[in-house]
Amino acid sequence: MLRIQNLKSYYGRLQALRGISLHVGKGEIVTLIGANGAGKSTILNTVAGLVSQSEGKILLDGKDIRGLPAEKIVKRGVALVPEGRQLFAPMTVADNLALGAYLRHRNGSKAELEQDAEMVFGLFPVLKERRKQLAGTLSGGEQQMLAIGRALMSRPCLLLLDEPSMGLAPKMADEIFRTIVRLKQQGVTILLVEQNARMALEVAEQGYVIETGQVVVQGPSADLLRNHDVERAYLGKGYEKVWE
Amino acid sequence: MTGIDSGYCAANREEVEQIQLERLQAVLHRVYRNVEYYRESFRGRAVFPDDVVSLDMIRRLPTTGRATLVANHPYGMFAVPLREVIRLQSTSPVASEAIVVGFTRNDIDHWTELAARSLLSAGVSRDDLVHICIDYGLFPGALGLHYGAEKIGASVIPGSNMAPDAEFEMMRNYHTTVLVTTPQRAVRLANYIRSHHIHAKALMLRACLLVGQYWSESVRSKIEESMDCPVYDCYGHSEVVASGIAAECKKRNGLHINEDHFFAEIVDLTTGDTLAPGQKGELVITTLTKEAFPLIRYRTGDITRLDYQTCECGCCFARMDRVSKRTDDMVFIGGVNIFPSQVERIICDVIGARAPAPIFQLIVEGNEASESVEVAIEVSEAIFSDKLRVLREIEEKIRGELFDMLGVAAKVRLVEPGNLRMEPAGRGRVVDRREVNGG
Ligand SMILES: Nc1ncnc2c1ncn2[C@@H]1O[C@H](COP(=O)(O)OP(=O)(O)O)[C@@H](O)[C@H]1O
Ligand SMILES: [Mg+2]
Ligand SMILES: [Zn+2]
Ligand SMILES: [Zn+2]
Repeated sequence: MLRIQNLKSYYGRLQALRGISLHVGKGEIVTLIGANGAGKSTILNTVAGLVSQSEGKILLDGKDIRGLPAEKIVKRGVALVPEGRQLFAPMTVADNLALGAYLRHRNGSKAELEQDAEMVFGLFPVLKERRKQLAGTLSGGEQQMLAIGRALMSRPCLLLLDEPSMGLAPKMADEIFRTIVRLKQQGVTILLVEQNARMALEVAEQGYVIETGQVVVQGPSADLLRNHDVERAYLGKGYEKVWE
Repeated sequence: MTGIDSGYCAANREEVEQIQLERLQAVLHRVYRNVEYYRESFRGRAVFPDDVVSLDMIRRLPTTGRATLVANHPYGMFAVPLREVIRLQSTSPVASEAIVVGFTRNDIDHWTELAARSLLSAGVSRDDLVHICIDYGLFPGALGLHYGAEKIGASVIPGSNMAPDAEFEMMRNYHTTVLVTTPQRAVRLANYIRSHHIHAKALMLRACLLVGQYWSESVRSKIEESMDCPVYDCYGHSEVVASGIAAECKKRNGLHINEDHFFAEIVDLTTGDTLAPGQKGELVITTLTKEAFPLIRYRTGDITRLDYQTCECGCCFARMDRVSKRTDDMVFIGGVNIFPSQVERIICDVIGARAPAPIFQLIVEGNEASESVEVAIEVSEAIFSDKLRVLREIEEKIRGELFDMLGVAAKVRLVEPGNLRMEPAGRGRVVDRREVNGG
């Protein structure tokens, strides 16, 4: 479904991605792991059309979407849940969701909108209880649910999730990971960026380890869980050289 | 059901090539970061991992030869610290040419999976009884196939050094259904079956896999006839993985290369240039998933060609022709690989000859049951006209060195200059008249 080849992204003169190739099969969860500043968010943001300078190919179902404006990419069925959620705090839960739908079709009918909101409430019942509450008053976990819910309002086929468990208590993080699995079961394809490498690899089929804008390891999640580079860097195991 | 991943071979070329590109780029970044030799050699050519934006661009990287592995022995080519290595395999019996290959946990698991694929493509299932008649110490590929057969869930009888009659009895009594062995031992067993007028149906074999060295189509028909089962070729390389790189499927029209783990190229023997698909040349392999001992454009020394058309069996992985020749004159003698250069060095040491290199021939005859090796060496008039006793002493000394250094029991014969028929460029130093080579 998504196939990226030799993607390079720049922020002014800083090159954040140095030729990334990766793919996500239909209905799969694929995870990107790596240290802070490795370029994971840049990959998601470039796919979502939020990085203005880039080279390479981003093929969505065979068509290159690199360089298209963000709203066109949303229309093609790609939705980003950005790092740090980026909700509209002074707006209600319901309005935040409506905004997500608006991004897809400015003139969607009210009935459609309600239908989609019900789908989100089915996934996150707590949001239904709090639909009239201001987004800024929600707990961290609830905010993350809202951020995912807002993205789902555009009925994406590819969901880009940037560190959804960041800053959440372990129980809440578990809940978010369960949601990710449920979304996959509903047929959503997911590209997931996570600091919590172990949990991400447990839900994903494939993974990529990113270091300084390059892929250094690629493979099935089971392999990555046993890869020593991964263990060392992201699963918190100690390491020192033993020869020499 | 067996949980063995066929590795994208049922997909299409585009998907295979995407996976190859991703893994190639990742392994290039790893070796550039972790292996000084590769870092230096890439820099020397002013090419960097970032430059490889397509599979074709791999051509810009230097190839890696056996000599490089020897020069960086023991751990110079390792891409992970030693503590992450769970198996070490030395691939040469000669100290001066030693190479040691390391494997991480993932490397072993991948090898197991690849060996399992080779067995599956020959139709091996969990209902089979797989007899691995190979000396595990001499041929490390056996261990891979052993793990692979276990992974499939078959019953496995590990190898040993039995005589053919004992081997035969065991296979008959235990109802062995799959025989995994070397061509030489298979020929020996076939000879036993023939010479004892045993009916081909006496064994319950469903398949026979031959590994470890080259063998001719006439060997295939001979074994198929005497054991009444199809014979499959399984290719490995001691510095890459000694079994499971490629294997024949039931169609037996070339060996399917496991392209999700290996990127294969064919290069011209002399220029080293990459040749177009279908042309014959030296097989060059880049490992895409190996963690401990990755190889970039490794020159295997094996001559073959590649076919990228989807096989009748539905697998889209490239197929290689059965290997029939090597670029150098490496021979297997008694399960040990011997290079004529090693023999040359011993001769030089003993007779003290400087350049030009001594002219000699390594003549191998018979089959495994009675393999005989003779080394014929041309010596100068001066030496040859020496006393017979002196000649005998030299012969004896070389014989002893060959045995001590290479483990080969050879007959040594000194001959007058001009007595050996040689081709130019040192070819013809090996004369292999053994049955397995169809000679
Ligand atoms: N908007 C930006 N402007 C300038 N530099 C940025 C910007 N966003 C990220 N970077 C830089 O790009 C590199 C990759 O960052 P990022 O993609 O956020 O990494 P990660 O998500 O893996 O932590 C870092 O060096 C970071 O400082
Ligand atoms: Mg980030
Ligand atoms: Zn086939
Ligand atoms: Zn296949």
